[in-house]
Amino acid sequence: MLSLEDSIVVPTGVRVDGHDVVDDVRAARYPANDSALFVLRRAGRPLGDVAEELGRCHRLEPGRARADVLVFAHALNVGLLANVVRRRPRHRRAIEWLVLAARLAPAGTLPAPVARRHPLDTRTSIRAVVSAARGLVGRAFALAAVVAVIALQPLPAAPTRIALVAIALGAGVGGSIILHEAGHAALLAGVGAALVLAGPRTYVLHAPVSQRRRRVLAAAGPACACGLGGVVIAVAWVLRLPELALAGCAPVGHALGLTVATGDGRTACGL
Amino acid sequence: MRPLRAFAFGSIAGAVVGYATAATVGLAVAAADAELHVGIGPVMLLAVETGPRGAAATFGSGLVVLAFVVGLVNAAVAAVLARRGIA
Repeated sequence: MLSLEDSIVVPTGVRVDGHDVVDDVRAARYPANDSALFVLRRAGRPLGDVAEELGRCHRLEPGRARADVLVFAHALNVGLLANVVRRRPRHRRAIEWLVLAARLAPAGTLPAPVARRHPLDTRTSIRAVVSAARGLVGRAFALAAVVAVIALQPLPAAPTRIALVAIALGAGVGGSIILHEAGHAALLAGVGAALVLAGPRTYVLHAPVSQRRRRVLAAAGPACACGLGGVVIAVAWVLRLPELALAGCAPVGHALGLTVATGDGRTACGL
Repeated sequence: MRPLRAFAFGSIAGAVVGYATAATVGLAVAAADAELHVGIGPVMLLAVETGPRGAAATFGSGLVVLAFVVGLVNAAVAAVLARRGIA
């Protein structure tokens, strides 16, 4: 959901080259018409101002110009060629989302999420892992907090134990996201890549690679998460700490990402 | 090669999740000084027993069978998806 107060920014790895929009990460070129280039060259300015100027230059009705700019900005964001800088307060956006979701409910759909693309430093594996972790730390903490709060519900029953369980579960869930994407990123040294957060989805965008490397890359994320989760459970077994074992459960659950139930698994299996 | 790969990944996933779950449940049951026997028919998955020397957890052969079954299911579904051209 975009508003006229928002603005778009061209992310690292995307550039305008003549009449094309070039994505250096995906090694792809997309032709752009004059109106599209008009909007892209004004990246950083509120979309409402861009629409006003577009309407003046091309003699469009203000409503038409605003609609065109919003639709184009949305298309750029869905195509991962532009990030959106939100200007409205979070609570207002939440209310607008709920209103739109209610209107779309009869159609069985939800408002399209706004995608965010973060560049990954793939000069070395360690830099790639660190940049993936930095891009995900906010989401991981948010998810960990939600899980911990839910797990705290029986708190009056056994406060210390429940608190430990909640923290362990939260840390496991939040950490597993970072481990999974870091696992993918670790094998992308020397390959252009970006981290994408689109609604509930998180994935790594990268340049085309060979089929074999693609399968290995796909398996690396789930394997990294469940491998480290297994180590945590093994340590918990040795130390006889069931709360620690709970922290390893969520990362271990990522092993299901090796099956055809997930996109990573289907790629790893060669589909 | 693809069916073998799908079977292998499915088995690994089944084994990892199965053993990890059994280990976590076993730890929790042992910490509570309780006993537990989990199985499917005659096949045992996990047994936790307490005695004078403390608790002992046993992973049953059912976990291996479970991993094998998950691998078979994964390979079968992969074959169906491949035939339908779904990726």
